[in-house]
Amino acid sequence: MPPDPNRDSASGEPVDLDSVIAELKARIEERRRAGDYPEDLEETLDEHFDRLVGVRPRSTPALHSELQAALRELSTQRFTRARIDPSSNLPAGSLVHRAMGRALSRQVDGVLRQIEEQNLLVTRAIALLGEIAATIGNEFDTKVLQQLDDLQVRLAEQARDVTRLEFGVAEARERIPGCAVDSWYGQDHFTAFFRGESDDLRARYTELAKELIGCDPVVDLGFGRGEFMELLAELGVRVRGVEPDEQLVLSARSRGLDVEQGSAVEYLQNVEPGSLGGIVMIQVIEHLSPQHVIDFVELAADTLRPGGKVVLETVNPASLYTYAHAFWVDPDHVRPVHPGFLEFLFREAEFSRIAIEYRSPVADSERLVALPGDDAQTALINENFDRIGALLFGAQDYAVIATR
Amino acid sequence: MIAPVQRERAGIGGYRGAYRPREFGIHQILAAAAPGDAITNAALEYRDVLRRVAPSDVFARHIAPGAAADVKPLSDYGADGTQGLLVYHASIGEPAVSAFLQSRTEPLVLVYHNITPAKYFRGLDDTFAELLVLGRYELEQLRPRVVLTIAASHFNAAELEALGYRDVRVIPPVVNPFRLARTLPDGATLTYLDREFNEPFLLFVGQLLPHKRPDLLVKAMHTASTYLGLQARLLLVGQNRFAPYADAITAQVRELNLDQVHILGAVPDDRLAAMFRRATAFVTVSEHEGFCVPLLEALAFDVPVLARACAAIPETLGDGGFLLPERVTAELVAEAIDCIVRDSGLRRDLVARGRHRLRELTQFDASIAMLEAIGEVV
Repeated sequence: MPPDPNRDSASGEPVDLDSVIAELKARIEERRRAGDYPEDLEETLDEHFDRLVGVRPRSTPALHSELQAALRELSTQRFTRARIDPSSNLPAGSLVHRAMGRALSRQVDGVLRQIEEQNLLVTRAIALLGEIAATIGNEFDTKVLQQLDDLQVRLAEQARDVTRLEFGVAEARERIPGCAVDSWYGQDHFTAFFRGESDDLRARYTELAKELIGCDPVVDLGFGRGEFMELLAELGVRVRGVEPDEQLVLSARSRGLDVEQGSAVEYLQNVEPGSLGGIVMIQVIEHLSPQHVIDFVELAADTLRPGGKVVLETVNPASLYTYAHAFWVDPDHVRPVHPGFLEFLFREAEFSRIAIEYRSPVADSERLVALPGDDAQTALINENFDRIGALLFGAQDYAVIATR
Repeated sequence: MIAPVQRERAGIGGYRGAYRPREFGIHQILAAAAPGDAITNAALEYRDVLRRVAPSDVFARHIAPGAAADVKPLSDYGADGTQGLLVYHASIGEPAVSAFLQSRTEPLVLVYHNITPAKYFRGLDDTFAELLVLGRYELEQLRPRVVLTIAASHFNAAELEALGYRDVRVIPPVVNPFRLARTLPDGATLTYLDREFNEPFLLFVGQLLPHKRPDLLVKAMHTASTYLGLQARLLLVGQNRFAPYADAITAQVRELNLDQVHILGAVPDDRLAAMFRRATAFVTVSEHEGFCVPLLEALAFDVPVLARACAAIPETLGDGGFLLPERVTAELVAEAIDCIVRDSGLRRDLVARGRHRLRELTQFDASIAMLEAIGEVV
């Protein structure tokens, strides 16, 4: 039934699609029978595309059916005397063969029966082997695929763990001492609130700034509001500022200061050795991790030229008063740095001169009041008061001026 | 009191410096975004709906250049607080996205568009196959975190239930099937099709991927033209995401000497609209679809649809087209194509069915269903 071209099956009635499909299937059968469709059309097309896409052969159904056919043939093979060719090249030879065959028929038939029985056993064994091979293949496939899946899942788990660790590390790095705390408030507000207005600070640092006259170029690490930089500029010292807080950097830049955003240690790591005349770190070193404190002194030694100076100020841990007041106010403070340790570090780094200057004495109004009277007991109590006072009310800050 | 302000981060390491108030938002997360990609489109439609009720953005781990204007990098997702809701469109596995989701505390809404079974890519692209396996594994891992699960079809819902999900809501993608039909068709394409194509043509829209079986369409075209004398063309439209597979299809077309099959790759909407307007029928023999939006687009153009009863296709197409059984041969597809091209009455009948189906589907406002479901968990 050749398809009539350009049919129009519409008669207004809805088309029954199921019967259309049945009709199409019937048509395919018809075409196959008529030889319009080649018998192996599907297989040829599949093989063609599989070859192009490089997919491994899916299975070996063809081989399997060949094996079945071979086994069928094997089991239907009959062993009979009749299939023994009696023909002979000698005259009347075939008569002799036939007579011999008849005479030996019992023996021959016995042997043939045994061979036939043997053949059945062999056929069954081969069939079993075929099945075993197929089973092994299937089991192998299943197992290998399962293992592959397991491996993939495990790999994925590990990849995910690594990513999670990366996130964790990134998160942790922000919390590591020496990196700025992630504060929503402005750092300038914090400084103004706890450390007074810029003018007070300028007065405090004038003398310290003068230490750096003639030490161009100077870098002020953690310049904060930039008071020290301004003092240096007024003294004619060429100074560049580095500060991690973006707001502070923007504010300083707007006032015409030469500044950039960054961290102290990282900055020094990228400075040409022996190229600096001075390094300033005012109230910064207590923000660094112990490792960074140690690294800083080594980097200072590397980057300063001979005669160059480090001028730094920090909270004095030898005064217990500072723990009650200044030190723990700032959440970004990591740990106080002892003057003795800093002196040791600069000495080890072969700085030629190290001066330590204690600053910001505690106001008298905060100190213990001596008992009046001058008898021996009062004197002893007052002497003890002095000892306690020295421990409690030591200078709140100290400065280190270390010359390379 | 100072308002709590969150510093926005620019991903691992480094600050963007801007300060921004933390606010309630319903944001969406994808593994990858690309123009024309069904999941990306769905997320953008969702976004427009969600923006009616809350700030809403789409974030993705991988962004194709064409999608960069609409989609933000995942690393930009900054709000640290527990306010808000994250809508995750699950597709292929992506460790970075999975880790990101695990690291968040916001309640999670899972939208499942389906993950193609890995078997289609084994031996072809084992890495991609692995990502697909991983995608399903990640779905299982996420389950305890998910407060609402939305599947695009019952077919998808059944897959999620097999993974232990309960109370899966079936909400079709918020797509407007008429969007493309209302796009002004490209004039040059219309003219070209009218002048150069003397015979009817069939249209397939979908990425050239193994599970969509473009190879079977090509085999059917070979069978129809060689043994049935069919005079018709086939246009394959869609991204060629896998070069080796697309190359194999191209080689198949070339070696079978099928001048009438054209592999066009991705085309802009206006050109696609022109092709839909002139197409004799839409054909797909895809074996795996989580929903299949192009079917609805074809219906919106009054184009008869020939498809195959696999995965979510029967659910989406309903009675709206000519549905071949799940198991087909190239011969059966060829006969069906031949039948649909030659029989104008059948085509008229299919168009009528399509219109009816589209009316059924558009009566249901998926965007409202989606907002209601999300409203329950906010």
